[in-house]
Amino acid sequence: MGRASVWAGVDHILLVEGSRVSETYKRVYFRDVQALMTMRRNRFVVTAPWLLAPPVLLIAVFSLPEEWRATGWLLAALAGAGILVYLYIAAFFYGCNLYIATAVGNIKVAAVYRTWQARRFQAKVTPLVMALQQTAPPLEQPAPPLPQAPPVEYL
Amino acid sequence: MALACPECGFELKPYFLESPDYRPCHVCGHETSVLPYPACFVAEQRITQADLRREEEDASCYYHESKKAAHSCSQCGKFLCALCSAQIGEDVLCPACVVSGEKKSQRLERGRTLYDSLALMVAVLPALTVSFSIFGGPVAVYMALRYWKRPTSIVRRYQWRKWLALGLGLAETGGWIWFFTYLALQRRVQS
Repeated sequence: MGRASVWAGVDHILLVEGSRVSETYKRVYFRDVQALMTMRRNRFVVTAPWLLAPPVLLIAVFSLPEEWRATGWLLAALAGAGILVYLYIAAFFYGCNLYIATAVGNIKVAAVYRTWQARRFQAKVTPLVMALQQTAPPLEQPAPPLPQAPPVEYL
Repeated sequence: MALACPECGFELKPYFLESPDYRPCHVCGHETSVLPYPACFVAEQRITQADLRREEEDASCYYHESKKAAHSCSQCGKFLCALCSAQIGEDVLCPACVVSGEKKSQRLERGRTLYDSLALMVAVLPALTVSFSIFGGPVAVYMALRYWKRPTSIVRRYQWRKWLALGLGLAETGGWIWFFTYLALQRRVQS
């Protein structure tokens, strides 16, 4: 029932986690990101759109004319089986946990649970992190002023 | 290198940094891929310098690289040494968050209650049992109006929930008022 998302700000990654009625936020600054670590794990995550599949299939079958109903049941069963196979393969062959490694520990990115999502996350975050870390001033200098209300972009 | 296995916490071997291939942790065996960034190597180089004030495994202060991090800012998450951290109530704040004060604290808040979703749940869930909507409807109207101007999620989110909660709440409340009025009128007609 939980929900999570990850967003990119001007100088940080915003991790949003929570339930339907509350959210908690974590910010990881690009300059603190030491590595992205992807660990292969079995994660059986069923997102909300997949929960709509059974009622949609049932409605589709019952909306068919009587003479097509048997064929509809067969096709619905095949579609249901296909969805289950997809979810099984995604969970047990492409499941992962993604962590952002910082100097004080690894921060889990709950919104990423498939290896292809992890690759996409890395592709989006790497240019941002590299741009900041390769041009970052020495840490002994005073920190630059923080931007005003940085816009965020969904990853 | 101070990268630790997310599963077992033991330090990962240096060969994890050579390429982002999946390799098993030498302790727990979980396959992990590591994509390192310059900060990983910079930290390693600085630690190997004559920086004796900081232990190898320790994090450094955001403002003073040579000092060991003792806290992290409760608002923005920066790592802070003892000099840079200010204890305010139960929170530890960095100088920037202290200076920018309440406005800053609100911008970097750590959580929110989504009152629009809460009001919608209060409107919808009791309605499933029909009878409990006698309470759910008015409460949903109250919550929608009471928290109408409260911000919703910090990320992109539409405003339709509070409108729907208000509409459903009013409909449920109005339905019950109509129902009791109808009963009263029926009883008067019968008597």
